[in-house]
Amino acid sequence: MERTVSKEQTDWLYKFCARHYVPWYDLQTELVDHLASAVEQRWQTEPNAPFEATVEQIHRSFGVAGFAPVVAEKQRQLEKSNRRLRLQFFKQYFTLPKVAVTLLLAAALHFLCTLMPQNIWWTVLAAAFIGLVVLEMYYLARMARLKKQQTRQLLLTNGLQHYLIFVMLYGQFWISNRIGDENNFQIGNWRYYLTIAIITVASVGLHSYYAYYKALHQKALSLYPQAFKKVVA
Amino acid sequence: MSQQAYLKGLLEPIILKLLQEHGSLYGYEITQMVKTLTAGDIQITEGALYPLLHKLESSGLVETDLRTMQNRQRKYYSLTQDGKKATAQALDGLQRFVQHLQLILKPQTA
Repeated sequence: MERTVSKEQTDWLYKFCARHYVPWYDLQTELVDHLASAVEQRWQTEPNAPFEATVEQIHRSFGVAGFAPVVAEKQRQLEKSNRRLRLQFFKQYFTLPKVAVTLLLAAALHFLCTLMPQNIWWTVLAAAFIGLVVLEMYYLARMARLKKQQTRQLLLTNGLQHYLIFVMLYGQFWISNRIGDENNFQIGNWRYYLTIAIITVASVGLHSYYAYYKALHQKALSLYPQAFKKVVA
Repeated sequence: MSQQAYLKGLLEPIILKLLQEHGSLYGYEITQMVKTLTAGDIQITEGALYPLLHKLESSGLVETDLRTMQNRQRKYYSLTQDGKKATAQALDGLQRFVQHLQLILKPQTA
């Protein structure tokens, strides 16, 4: 009877990958199968070859850098494909009805500013910035909840980004600049419209980022259910 | 110069061709297939194979599915529709290259 890699040995191979700087289950799975297949092939000609020493030998065939080139390229390719997916979700907001809603949102913001007394209209935009922070925190909490369902690290869902950091910096800059020099920001000047545009695009980006992350989570769940907590029906 | 040295630019069409012929393959199977077909003259290293497979996956030329084997999971690669077109183009380009190479190596005398 042919000698095959046992369940315990498979688990050991996962730990071996983790020890060699591959903590992600999705990449580990492929490498574990490769190592196990190579060990089983070796056992066909040398049935008594010790398991762990054989694995070490096969690992050396990956070269002096070990798994590092595989990890680096996988990360690079995932970043590329995830960037494409993010853009795809963002583009979904450029259908006619969604553009109309977005423009309405921007118009409402402008209308609210014009309704306010002359010296405090800018508080509407400051409130909008604060609203964005709250919205981002809400979405981050929801994304963190999705991530918590994972029991093992996945390279696929590794890059959760704090999307609005640059918008927040702009908001902070805008508010301090506005307080410092009132003439810089007036209803109708280009800085005013730029600010409304940034708030609008940022809120659309935030929604689309959450939709993207949810899709990524679903993809990871369908591909690697073993990396997630079992949901009791 | 060893055959391995010529391999670098040819690895992608070789993998695409194998996937075209066999439908779906897993990483280790590809390395062994190339080794067997070339009687061990050409050996694909793991450090070259997996980065290329991941690149092909990311560019949408191949797709993957996980199948559960006895005690482990196995990731199979197969060509997408775009991958099938790219394979035909790559093989066509490779054949033309080989023809040109033959013209250089064995010039026909008039």
